[in-house]
Amino acid sequence: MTGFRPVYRKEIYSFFASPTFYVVALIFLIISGYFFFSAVSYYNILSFQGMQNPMWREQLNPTEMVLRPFFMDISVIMLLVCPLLTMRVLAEEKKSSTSELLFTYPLTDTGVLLGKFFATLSVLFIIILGTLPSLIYFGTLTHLRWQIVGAGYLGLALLAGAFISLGVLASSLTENQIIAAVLAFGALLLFWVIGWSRAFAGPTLARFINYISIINHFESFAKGVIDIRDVVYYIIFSTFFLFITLRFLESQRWRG
Amino acid sequence: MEGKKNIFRSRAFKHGSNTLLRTIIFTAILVFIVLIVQNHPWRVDLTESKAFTLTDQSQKILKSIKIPINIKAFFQEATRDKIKAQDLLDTYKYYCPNLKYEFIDPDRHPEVAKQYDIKTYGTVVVEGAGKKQTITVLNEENLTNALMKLIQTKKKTIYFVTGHGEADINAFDKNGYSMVRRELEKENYQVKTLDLLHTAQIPKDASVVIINGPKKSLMKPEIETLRKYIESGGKLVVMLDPFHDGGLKKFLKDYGIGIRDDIVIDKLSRVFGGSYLMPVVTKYTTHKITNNFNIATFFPESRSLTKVEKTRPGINVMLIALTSSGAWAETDIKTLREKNAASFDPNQDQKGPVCLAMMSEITPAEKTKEKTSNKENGDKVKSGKKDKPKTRGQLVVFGDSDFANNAYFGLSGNGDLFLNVINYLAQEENLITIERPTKKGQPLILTSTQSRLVFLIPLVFVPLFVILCGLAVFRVRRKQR
Repeated sequence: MTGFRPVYRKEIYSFFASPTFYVVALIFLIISGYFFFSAVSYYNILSFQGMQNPMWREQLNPTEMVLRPFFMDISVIMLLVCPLLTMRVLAEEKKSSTSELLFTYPLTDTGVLLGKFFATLSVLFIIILGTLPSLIYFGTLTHLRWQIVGAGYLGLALLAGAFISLGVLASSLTENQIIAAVLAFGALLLFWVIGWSRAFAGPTLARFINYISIINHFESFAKGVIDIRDVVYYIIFSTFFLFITLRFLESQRWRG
Repeated sequence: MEGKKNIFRSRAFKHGSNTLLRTIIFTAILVFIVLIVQNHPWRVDLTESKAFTLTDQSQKILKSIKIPINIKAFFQEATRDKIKAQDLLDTYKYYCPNLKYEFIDPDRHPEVAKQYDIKTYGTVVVEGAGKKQTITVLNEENLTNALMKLIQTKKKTIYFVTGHGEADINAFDKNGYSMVRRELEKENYQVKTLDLLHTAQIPKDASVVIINGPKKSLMKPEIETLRKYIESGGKLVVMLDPFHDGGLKKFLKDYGIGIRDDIVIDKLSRVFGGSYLMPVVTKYTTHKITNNFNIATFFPESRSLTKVEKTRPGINVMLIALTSSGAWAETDIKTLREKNAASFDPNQDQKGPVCLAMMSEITPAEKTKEKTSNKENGDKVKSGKKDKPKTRGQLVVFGDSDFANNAYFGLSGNGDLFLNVINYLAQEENLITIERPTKKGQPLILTSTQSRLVFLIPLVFVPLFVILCGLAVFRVRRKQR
């Protein structure tokens, strides 16, 4: 796996040097910030109503009513911004014809690809961590279960990995970054909405669709449960698409 | 040319097939891992109240379930209740892979809702082993109990007492009870006869014991047996025809139900085409037995039942079926028999509406005492756990036994009322109780400074920090150039 470290460092560096990163981070954090603000405001209103109704009062739980919807909201924003981060990963190299150079270095394909994958993942995770200050402040206002916050971020990281692996594949297919972004977005959206069609499918197919659906596996993290099945789903998902990307890059060499 | 093509083909073919093979093998390995993990789930619940973990009791029961269980949950789409229900069912599924659930919106699929007779949102139907349980309030206690009832394989047994001229459950003639037997067996009950003189106690497997119209009096030891049975939580149905009290007058009085030597006369019944002596019931009290039941029932030659006011504590009497207010209970039998005439005598006869079916709930005597003493100590919860919660005895009395015989069982709602009573009595109360720690609410009322900070931190400070970082990086890079 030679090549992981230099590629990782180079990618991180070029991310932080590019304006794309700051624009994406800014938009991501403003939208997620708005969701956070509205979730807390809504909770505030509900608490106010709960003062009068003791039955309501028992239901008030900040982890259930603020954290859970907040993490679900972040996953939606991630769906939108992820293709923007992954679109350039391989397409740019192809366009500027540096990919031949890159792949003729004494570096393994796996090392190069994983370097790029983990660099993008790190960058996205750093953006996600931008939501942490708000949560820390929220934690000072009420009792927050930090283990659940941890589970949520773990889930987001795994989800990000799955998104990025698919984005990287899309980026390897074309040298046009816009096409790469559209491809990635379309594929991700498809994996997202496929779960909605389980109502019309037969029982066996419904189970398969349920499993494939990318967001179904995130719910458990958002509510504070770490389920090995969901962790494995995301890892398998990422591994599969990285493997396909690798085979595709390899095939370019012998296809000429 | 041909050679060139061959080389090209073989090269592409070699690499292509190699790639394909590797992809297939790799995919197969991944699928294999997925299948292993799906079949050996494991999870950590990080919530404080362990909201997504079941109690040990439930877990044990779920582990013993080997048959497929199907759950249909009737919830409206996108409601908080539905999310909660989904969380709970998901947790159950984690512990019991044989369990499958689906959500059905009763508004969008009224045909399914009708099929399962769904009346309220949030009703859950649990099916398995050819049986069905319906839960109206979904929580761990109810769902676990429903599952327990499903996996119980034994059939419930209904005993008919014999030996005093009761209607025979095997007789096909018009006074027989063969129709009742057939209908009960259809509802998955086992029907047996019981000779009280030969048994010191009621068999343990008895779900309900029925005495249907004895012509001769029961012996003292027999009544004692019945008393013991009902005091220990038994379910008894007594059907007494006019002028045959079966020696049960005192027994019934002890449980709050009074009988007199009379016969109910209902002028309204004449309108329906019957005789005066066949009172019709069109009004039922709101009781679980008669909930949503509004079909007329006819009681040929019936006696009146009255509520005895003075009983020992722990007895709760409820009326079930009442005649119209035009009916009365006639005591002057002589005139009735000889002249075939009857008139209401306010001094003697009981004015309508006359009660024809009554139910009494009996809390075991010792337990009532214990409960009151515990209440004094303010230590109610502990005692509940110490001794097994005894079920309440239930006694349903009809002032008539003919209404369910072969001649009248099929008439209007007669059969339905009878089966409703049996189903209600035979239904088990919750087998286990599960107490979850109640969540304490954590209301959050923000001060104006706090709410301003909730706005400023995510929407101003953090984005500003990102912008500043970006500007700093660009200045540095410009300098480097």
